[in-house]
Amino acid sequence: MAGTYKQEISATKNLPMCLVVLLDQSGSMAEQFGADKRSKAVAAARAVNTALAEMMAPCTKGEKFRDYYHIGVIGYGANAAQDLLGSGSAPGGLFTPGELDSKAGKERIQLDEDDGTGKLKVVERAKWFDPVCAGGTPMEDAFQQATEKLKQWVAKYPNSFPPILMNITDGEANVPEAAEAAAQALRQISTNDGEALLFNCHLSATGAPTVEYPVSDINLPDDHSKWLFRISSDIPETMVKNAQKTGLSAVTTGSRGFVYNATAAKLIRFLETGTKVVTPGFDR
Amino acid sequence: MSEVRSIPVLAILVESDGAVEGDWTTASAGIEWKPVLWGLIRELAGAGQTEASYEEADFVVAAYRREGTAGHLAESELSCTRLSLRQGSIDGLEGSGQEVACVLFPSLEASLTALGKWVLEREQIDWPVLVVHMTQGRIECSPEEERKAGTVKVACDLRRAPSVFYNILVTADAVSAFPRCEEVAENAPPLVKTLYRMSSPIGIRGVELLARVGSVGESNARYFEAVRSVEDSVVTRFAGVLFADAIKQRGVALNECLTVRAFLMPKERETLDDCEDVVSIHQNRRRFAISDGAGTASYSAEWARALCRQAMDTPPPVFADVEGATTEGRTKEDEDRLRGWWGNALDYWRPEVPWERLVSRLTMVNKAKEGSGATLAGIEILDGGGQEGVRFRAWALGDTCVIHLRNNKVLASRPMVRADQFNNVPLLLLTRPGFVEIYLRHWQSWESTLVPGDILLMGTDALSKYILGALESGAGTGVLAWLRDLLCKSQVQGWHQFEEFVDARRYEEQMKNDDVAIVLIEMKKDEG
Repeated sequence: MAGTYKQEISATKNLPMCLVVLLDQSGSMAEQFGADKRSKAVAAARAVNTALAEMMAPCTKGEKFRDYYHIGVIGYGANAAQDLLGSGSAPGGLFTPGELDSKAGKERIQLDEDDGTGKLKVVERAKWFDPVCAGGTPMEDAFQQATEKLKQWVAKYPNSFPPILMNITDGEANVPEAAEAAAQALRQISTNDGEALLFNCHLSATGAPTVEYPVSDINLPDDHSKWLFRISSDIPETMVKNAQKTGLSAVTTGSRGFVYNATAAKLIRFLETGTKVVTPGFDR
Repeated sequence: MSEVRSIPVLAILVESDGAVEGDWTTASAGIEWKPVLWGLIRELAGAGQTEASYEEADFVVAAYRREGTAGHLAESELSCTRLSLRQGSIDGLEGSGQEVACVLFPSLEASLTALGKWVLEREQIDWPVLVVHMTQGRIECSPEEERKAGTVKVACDLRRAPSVFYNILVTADAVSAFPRCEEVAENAPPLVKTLYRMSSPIGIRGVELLARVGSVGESNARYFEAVRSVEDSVVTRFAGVLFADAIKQRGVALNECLTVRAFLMPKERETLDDCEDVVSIHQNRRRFAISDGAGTASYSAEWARALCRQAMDTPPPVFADVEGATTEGRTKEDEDRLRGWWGNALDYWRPEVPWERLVSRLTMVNKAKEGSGATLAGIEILDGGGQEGVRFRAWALGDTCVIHLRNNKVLASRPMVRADQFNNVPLLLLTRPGFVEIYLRHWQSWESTLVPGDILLMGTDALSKYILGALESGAGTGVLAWLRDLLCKSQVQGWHQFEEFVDARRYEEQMKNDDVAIVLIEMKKDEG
């Protein structure tokens, strides 16, 4: 992938960052998530909702929002690919932080901690969509839809940091050749600072060992993982240092933005490569 | 005794319903405010009669009402009437045709914007500015109105004229006078909460002043009264006491051998309303403080202001002078004293967060609950001084620096000494508890002496880093010339010079785009 990946994220300079999550909502996501008691769909939905809330935090200032991010979530499953949040006012139907805030619902989550009285702690968290799982895996549709959105977005913000797409999936695409071609087309969309970055996270039902941010496909167990490796972008050097600072020590120079056989915890860290590694006031 | 004329400023903002007649607006049903104006004028004429008293006072009167009703166009500028306060001239003034000019605005927000601008453009303000706001409650209760009130306070602080924002709500509902935070917490309507936040904290001195007019207010309560009619308010007597006290304070004020300037500039493309650096100068001009609120947190400007307010009320405890980070010389008693001081600042901050407006917005609430952080630095002049020198004490935590210049060189600088010591994660005083031990370890507390020709400078990080860097690399001539220029020009003339210099440095990328606050103190050389 070509580019400098140095641009700052700034609201006052009109340099927002584009972030789109692509979420597999196929039938197999109903399976239990390895050792986690929840299904992959439930865990993934919670992880994405948490990532959205964490993206909102730096944007929130008193009673106002700073437009640091334009955000979208595309789910793909039985109903082909669709916007899970609806349509916002940013190019490509993406959402500004203010719009995202107004769409936020709440859900009560039970944590694994004691609340001090012998019961499990229950907290309120922001939630933008519910888990859904049915049908096949039209990943190619999701990539195509994302491409359309990105084309509109980069036309409006040609100087911004390149868009980041985070794809969460548990299995093979319906039509792998079409999906691969669509992924390559997606990664060609660019701003003046570089090409769009596509990061992939594969969720494991089996508890097999996780491979994180590999530099090559040598240690990958099968064709599917190598396929996902092929369509994953390198993590730019400018992001590598920041990633390590946020605790993602597995990220090194030359790492691909790719995790195979992720657990729920690894999924959450994966999402942070989009939400926490590139932040306003980003050190170049 | 020096012959400096002191001219108090009283700003009166009043909600009005009436049509306009000449320069006056007629009293609406509910607020008879003209008697308040004349009461204030008479009190000022009588204030401090035994010692030097006021010869004149400036009155700025603005009325506001909702747009759409009949009346002349809202003007964008305030009009100031300077009244002679000699007893003879006051008698017979009322109704004589020599009236106090009043300007009509379409909203409270517009009148506050005009007042802030007016303060910044005045050459001389060095007395408490008393702002009396009378309303029946038809204001918007919006964050914008609160911020505009905040900007007026910022403008006054910068101009070395601590302001007292005194709000009077004319209502039939009962609200206790001079309420504390807890009293307006749970069930008070949004209007009361907004007016509360717009009112100045009473502070330690205020408690004594209110006692003299027979009222009780605690130091962390606010100057806010809810009354059935304005005659029930104590504001006129309070004004007399406030301004008489100001004369006494002037007697112990800063010796004329020191020149003081203060400037504040927001980030590029932002306004003073958004600025999170705060500069405070005590009424007696012997104590100065700057606080730099964290840009990423919510309500940081409010926290910076609370820290400065607390520093003006009570300077932070003095600790043993140790450079760098260490627990040497710091005792458990020191930790308790610092915790107490920090806790009082927190009492000024907590009520500033408009929880009632945030309650349904989860992301905003969560962000506000994370709390705020800010740096703090301050200077206190310890004696009257002669030409041998003036002793001062200073304190600092974070990257807001106190730099002592002598003979065009840096004599001392704390906490940072070199430009490369600044980073993006300075130590901050947090609103969250549990960090006092860390503050104590890093807290810088020291004393030194200013001799004629010395310049003492206190500045937030972007400016301090630039100045230290320029002097280190031998490119200091430009900076020193600029600082001396700011000190010879008047506060208002210097303002443009200040902005131009900072703009140019930002453009050349020599200075980070960040809020800039500075206090400059120069000990004049003996001209004889």
